[in-house]
Amino acid sequence: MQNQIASRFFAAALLAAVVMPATAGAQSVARQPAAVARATGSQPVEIELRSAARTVAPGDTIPVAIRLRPNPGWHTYWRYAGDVGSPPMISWRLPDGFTAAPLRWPAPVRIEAPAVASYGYKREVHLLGAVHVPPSARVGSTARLEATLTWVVCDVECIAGDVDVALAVPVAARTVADAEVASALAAEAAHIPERRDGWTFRAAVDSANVLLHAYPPGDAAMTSGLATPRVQFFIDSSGVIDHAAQPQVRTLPVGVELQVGRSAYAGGTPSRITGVLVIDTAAAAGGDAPRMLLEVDAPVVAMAQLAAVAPPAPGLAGGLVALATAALLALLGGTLLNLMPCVLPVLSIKTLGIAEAAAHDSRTARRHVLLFGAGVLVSMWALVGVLLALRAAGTEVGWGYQLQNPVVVGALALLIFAAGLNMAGVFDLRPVGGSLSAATRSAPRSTEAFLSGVLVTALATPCSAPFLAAAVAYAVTGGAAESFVVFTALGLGLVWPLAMVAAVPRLRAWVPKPGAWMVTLRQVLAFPLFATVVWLAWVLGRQAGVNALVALLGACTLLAFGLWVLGRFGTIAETKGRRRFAQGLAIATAAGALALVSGASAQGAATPGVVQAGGATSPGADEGSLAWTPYSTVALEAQRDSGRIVLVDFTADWCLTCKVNDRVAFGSEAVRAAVRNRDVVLLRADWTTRDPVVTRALAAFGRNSVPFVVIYPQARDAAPIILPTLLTSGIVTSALERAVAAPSEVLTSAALTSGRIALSPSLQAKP
Amino acid sequence: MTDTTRPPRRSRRIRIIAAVAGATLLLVGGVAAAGVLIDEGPAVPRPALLPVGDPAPAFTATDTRGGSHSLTGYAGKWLVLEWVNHECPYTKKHYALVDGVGNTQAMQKEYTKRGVAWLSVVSSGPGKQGYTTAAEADELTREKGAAPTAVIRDTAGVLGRLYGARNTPQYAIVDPDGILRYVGAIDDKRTARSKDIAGATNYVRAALDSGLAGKPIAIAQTQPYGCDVKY
Repeated sequence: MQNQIASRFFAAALLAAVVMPATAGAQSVARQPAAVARATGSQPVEIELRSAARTVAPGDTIPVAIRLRPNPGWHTYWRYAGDVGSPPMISWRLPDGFTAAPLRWPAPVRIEAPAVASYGYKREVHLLGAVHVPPSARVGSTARLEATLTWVVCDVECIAGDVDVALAVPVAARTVADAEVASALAAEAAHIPERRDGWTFRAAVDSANVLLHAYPPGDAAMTSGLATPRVQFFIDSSGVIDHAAQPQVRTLPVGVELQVGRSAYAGGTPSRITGVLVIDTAAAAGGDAPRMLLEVDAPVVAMAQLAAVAPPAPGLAGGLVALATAALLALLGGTLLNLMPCVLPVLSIKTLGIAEAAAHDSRTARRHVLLFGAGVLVSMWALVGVLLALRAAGTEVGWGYQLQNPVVVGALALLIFAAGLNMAGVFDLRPVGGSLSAATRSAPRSTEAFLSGVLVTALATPCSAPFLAAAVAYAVTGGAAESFVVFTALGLGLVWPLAMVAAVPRLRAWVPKPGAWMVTLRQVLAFPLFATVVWLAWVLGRQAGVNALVALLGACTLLAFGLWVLGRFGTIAETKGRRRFAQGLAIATAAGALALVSGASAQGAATPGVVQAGGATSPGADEGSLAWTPYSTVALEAQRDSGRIVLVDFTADWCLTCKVNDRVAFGSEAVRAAVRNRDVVLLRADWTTRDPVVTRALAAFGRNSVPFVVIYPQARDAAPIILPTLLTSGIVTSALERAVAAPSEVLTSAALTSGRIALSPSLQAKP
Repeated sequence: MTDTTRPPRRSRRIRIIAAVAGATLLLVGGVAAAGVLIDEGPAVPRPALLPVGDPAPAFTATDTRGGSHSLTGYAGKWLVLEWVNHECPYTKKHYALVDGVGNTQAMQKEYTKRGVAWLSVVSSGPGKQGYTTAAEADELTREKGAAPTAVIRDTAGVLGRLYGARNTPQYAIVDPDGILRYVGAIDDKRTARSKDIAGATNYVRAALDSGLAGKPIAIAQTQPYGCDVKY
């Protein structure tokens, strides 16, 4: 019986070996065991196509495998070969209705040669496949599975070839397994990496490195097993990593991190990193426990984001401390926002109004404060939502991202201009601006209270207080929950002074009593708003060019006219018809102004070279005699190579603090002298509009906001000196002093990969 | 307006001053605290220099006939450096005759005709795969119908290492100003089969066609594939 089956399978032996003209001929071997088609000969590799089924039933699946057994010293390749070689390939020629599943590849090993590394197999390996037999297959027929196998096998040298093979599997009433082949396939199946539930992977890429994080499911045993892991990563696409570089492995509190150098041939930034991760846990390395073989599909996220998901120290308590610190900073920052020129005018009038109203009817006043607070918080949450959505979409964002879009800058300028006109008394608009005029009224209506909260948040966005940068960086890089908490704290910080005034009668006694002076104050406070408009107009001009700037001025004029008409003819003293007309005209001019400015801004932003033409990075008259060069990685490296001290100023036109630093620090004679004397190279990284190069450079330091100033000392291996957000000439000159002196602490590679660097200051402040 | 409860003028002024002073204190304190909190952090790893777009490294090399070739000698011309190893299956793939035409030979003929200088570089060391004597190299060139400007014998691997050549085949393209404009693979089908050439995107042709037409080179660096260079 056995003999009979064997002889039937004799027909399944290899038919011919067709080899590329370039290679020595591979030859067929005559005698075959059952269910095997072998292609071998004088080549340093034995190749077979094997079937684990002796007979197959219609509708069933034939497990098949390509068996490759290289001679000692030779190796074959994985599905991605790395620097040298190519994977074996199979092209099937199957009967009608038969389909073949893609090959499943056992985890490879690293094969190193001088300066190169490849992924492959030195051992005998089975590449697992499957052929599905259609239900329509006729019992009694023979399924003829033909294929061309292409292979490359190397020791120091490489040999390539291809060979045609064929298997004949009888279609029978039931499937009968070939025990020997089936057990070989089953043994190999244990080496096939899998996608495992609960594991998450994330990657980040910068110009020098690829970082891969793997987080196991929340399983304590597995996590502790990762304490001293041996981890190998086999990427499966070219031009991403330097295959020959030894990856550095670090244990995270919640998983493992691999850092590996980027390919010198890297084209662009990939959107996903895929491959296979092989983890030998401490237990597995010592005992019989199987290795973990994982199929990896990691989305590429911003470097700062990756660092934030897996902070180096925390544990729950540490994480909570970091979060509490960030929240506290946000609360303080929000409080400081009250004093910023774009918020102070509106909010102080609001406070006076609430205080007055509370004196009359404290319940109504409290309700309005609550509504106002709700308006602020809802807008803050909307900002978080947009931020998270942008991040989910893979956009590299940072705080101030709103102002990188000239259309938003233009719209904000118009809004603030309108608020200024309102305060100056040009018009008085109940539904939106009514709250602005609350000084002369009793408590405002509910919708007004809510909308004025929204307005205040909108006004607050261009101004960032010193605390804000740190807290918001934490929020932006953290998870959704962290962002939510921090922005909520920010909103509460913005609202609480007002709430206190409404809630505590004794505090109210401190607020000056209303009177005619309030009208004067309100009109005077219009001017900080106009000043804010001037600043935003300048930002817009830099972003989108002089045409957009002129469009904004025209839009302001148009808006002013419409609002003047509203103020003059929209009052209750006029007839209903006139009022309607005035309101309609005001709305039309506002819409027209908005359309004008956004159209011109969008067009200006789309014109390449506008920002450069604006000269943000060229030496400007207002920067004294300092000569700034635009930042680029190449420029930075070249200047460092030349042995000079390099100062990089990350800045943006919409960043007020940056402008203060420009004047106070870089504008001072002391700094200018130090720069001259020490032959310092000044590089300016301009983030006025979105620039991925600058975003990545910031992310490498764990920042996502400006200002950020860093000094690279003369010594090549010395750690860069990071300056505080707010600069004085003393801070800059003493840092330059240190940059000349002996190299500071040289960092270990572990610290480089640790993500510690990529954390916001608020996190660094935690214990 | 109810002014009946208004306190004396002087008391109001004191309160305003107190409020302003309080706010100023808060601001100053905040700024100081921020300055303390935002301190130095450790450094970042230094990014690798991208070779494309930089001046190509200067070299002087000798061809199979004893002729000397240097980068400066090709100023004003597009220059192709092609690493080969005639025994490597991947070099064979691109020199194999498919319907009588070899992929690389056709490129050499076409682009040298268009004024491009084409140097085939053999960086195999003595005794290593791909190493030949000068006469053997010339014989191989004739036999395959190859048409490079010259075949460089880089037996010490100086030129190969200078240009970071890891694979055969691997390409470097230098523009007339001496700027490196392309490094990497010949095409995107990382196999050893000649029949895969037909469906492949040839990066070297694309780079040369763009460069010669004065257009920017869309794909300027790719990961080469093939055998390793047998230094």
